[in-house]
Amino acid sequence: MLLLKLLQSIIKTLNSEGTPGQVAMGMALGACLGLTPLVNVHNALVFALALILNVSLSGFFLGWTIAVPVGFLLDPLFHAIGTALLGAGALQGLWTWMYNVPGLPLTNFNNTVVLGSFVAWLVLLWPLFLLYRMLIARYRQHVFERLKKMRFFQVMSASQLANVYRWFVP
Amino acid sequence: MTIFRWKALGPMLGFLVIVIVLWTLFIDHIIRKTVEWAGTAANGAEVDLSSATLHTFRGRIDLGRLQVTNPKAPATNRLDIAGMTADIHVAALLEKKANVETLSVSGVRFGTPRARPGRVVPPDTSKGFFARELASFADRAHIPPLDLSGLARLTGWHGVSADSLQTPKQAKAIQARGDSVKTALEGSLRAADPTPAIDSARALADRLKNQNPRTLGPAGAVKAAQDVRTALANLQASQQRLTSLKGDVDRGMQSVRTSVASLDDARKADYQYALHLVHVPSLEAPDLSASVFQRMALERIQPYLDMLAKAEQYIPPGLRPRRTTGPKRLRMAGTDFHFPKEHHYPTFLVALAHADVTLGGTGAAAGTYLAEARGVTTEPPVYGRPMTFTLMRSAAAQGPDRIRAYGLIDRVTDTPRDSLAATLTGVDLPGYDVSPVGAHLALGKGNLEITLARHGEQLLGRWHVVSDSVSWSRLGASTSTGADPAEKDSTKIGSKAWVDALLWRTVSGLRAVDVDARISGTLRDPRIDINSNVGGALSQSLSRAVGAEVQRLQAQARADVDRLVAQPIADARAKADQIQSGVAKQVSDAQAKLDQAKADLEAKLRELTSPLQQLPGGLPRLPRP
Repeated sequence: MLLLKLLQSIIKTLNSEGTPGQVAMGMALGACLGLTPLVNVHNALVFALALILNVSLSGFFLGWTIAVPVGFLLDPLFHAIGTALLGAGALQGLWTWMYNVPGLPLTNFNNTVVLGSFVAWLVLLWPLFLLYRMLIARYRQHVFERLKKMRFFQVMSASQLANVYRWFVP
Repeated sequence: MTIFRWKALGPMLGFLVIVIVLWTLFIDHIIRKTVEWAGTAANGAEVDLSSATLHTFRGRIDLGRLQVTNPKAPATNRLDIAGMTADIHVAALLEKKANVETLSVSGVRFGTPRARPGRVVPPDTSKGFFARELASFADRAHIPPLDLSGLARLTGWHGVSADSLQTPKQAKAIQARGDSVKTALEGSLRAADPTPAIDSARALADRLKNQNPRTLGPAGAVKAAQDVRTALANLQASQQRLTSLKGDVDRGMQSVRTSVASLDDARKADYQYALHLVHVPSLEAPDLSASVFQRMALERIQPYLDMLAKAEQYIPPGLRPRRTTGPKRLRMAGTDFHFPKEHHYPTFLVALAHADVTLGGTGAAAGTYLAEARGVTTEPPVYGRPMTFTLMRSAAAQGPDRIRAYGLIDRVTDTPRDSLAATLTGVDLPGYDVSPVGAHLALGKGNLEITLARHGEQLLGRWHVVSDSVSWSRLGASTSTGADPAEKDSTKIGSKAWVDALLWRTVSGLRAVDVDARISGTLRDPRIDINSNVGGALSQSLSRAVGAEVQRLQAQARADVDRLVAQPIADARAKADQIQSGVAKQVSDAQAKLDQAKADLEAKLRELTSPLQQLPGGLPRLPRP
């Protein structure tokens, strides 16, 4: 059931009326929620950003879903990045200042996995956007035309469950 | 195409409202569960909180009844608080820091029964140095046994073998070392022998004895002066070598003399060894006091050391970035780095807390107390001030005149400083089984004074109890039941029956007891000195009974040791004198000869050069040697 919903989400997203750029940016923003530990202030801000900006929300949730297992897999790497950053002598002044500014500690930036994954997402944001945009454009040009004639594809597309996000589809 | 999607603002505001509603509904529950979780982890047993109410905008939390299970008796509460009100610094919360400006605690009681036994959790093994050391503190403190059985063997002195004494071995080692020092120094003296330089200087002085610049002429005078300077340079080099050698000699002599001085300590150790051979027990009052009361003092001081250990576990010293394990979650926890800053909000702080404490019952401690604590924080260097607390009785249920306790825990710097002081006047003191003397001591009403200070690893403490209304009762197991008939003979000196009777006679007559235990040293190497009138009384009794015989044996043992060690010590001292009179004297003599030859040549040089300075056009520049 979960797999079906995921497939449906992928199909709806990739074939929505949004431009490849809107879908790709939605997916790149959604990657933040998957790559970084979920219950953190920065994810609320990224979610709000995805709502306010005219990006594909379906793409946002798809990007989130795809990034979750990647986040789990890369946690040791994120921990190493965070440890290196938080332990860097040159940055001690910055961290000490941030640690004692009202509000900033609520972001949990002082946790190695949170900081490491967030920095990794920031670095990957633009490359992810470019990659997703290229893949979606190619998909629509070469694959979608063949897929939409398939019976399975038509069944999946017809489901009403996917209409939950219709309001937000660009 | 627009960049912003304004229609999303509605759902976002709706989401925000949901968050606020959830906060309002569940924050009290979250606080209650958090207090219970953190309290249980800190206490080692279940902590229950009946209610929690957060007044967000007023910055106030009201907590209901707090029950802290006693880990050693889970059916009772170690601490039971009727209610607490905390005024919180709201700005600090935005930095994830809990800063309580004032904390009012009411209805504090101890040892109350629980409705159901509390859950006990395994102890935290990641303790600090102090806590780790504390676990074995009592074992590290040597408690001398009160073993008077040696008195039974006060029949004579059978001598001691020289081979078993330390002093002769040490004296021989010193002699061997003296020989090697002497050989090395003599070799160095031969290498630095100044005789050729002295002889050459003397020969030159003799050759120039009757010469002067007029007889030598200008060229001859210049040549002679140059020869004198060369000879002086040789003498100077020899003198430097001798000075260096003298330093070696002094160091070698000092080393040997220090070793010789240590022979006195070795001889004292040999005295102790010899006395040990006949099992003559110490009859000194401090030793007997330690045997009788050291265990009791350690047991009474241990709870206060426990308090300091807890303080170290939760209040690490010094201001430095700390690392703790991140929060538990499905994802990897990671590590939380903390970056404290001086004079800012600490992670946890109770600036001022005051409580009314009631101790129930009819015991000596029953009554009401006023307790106050300041600067309770997990980061003293950030707060910048030490934690202090006071406790004093405001009204007594009965009896005791005064109970006062004061404490300071200073972790502002890297070196922890803790101190505790408590004075209890006119209280009913708990009794104690003094098993070394086979009696139970009921201390009755008396005074107790406890001080404990820690600076780094150094400890300094005192436990002083005074009572003039004590009573003694004999412990049942103390009567002699040995199979050996001699052990039942109370007339035989040193038999168990004799010892029991003597000890009981001595202590049972005492109506006043004064025990003064002083702790010093470190946790690794603690030292406990006990002074007590009980030890003094035992010492007098034993001395009266067996003192003359013990003193005779002690003198005999000392004389025997003296006889065996006198010659080796004399030989070692002679060896030191030999080095002093041999090599050291040779060096001194050579230095004197060098100084004389140098003085002669310098006088000659002045004689040769001064008239030349007055020649027209001055003296041609002489080449320096």
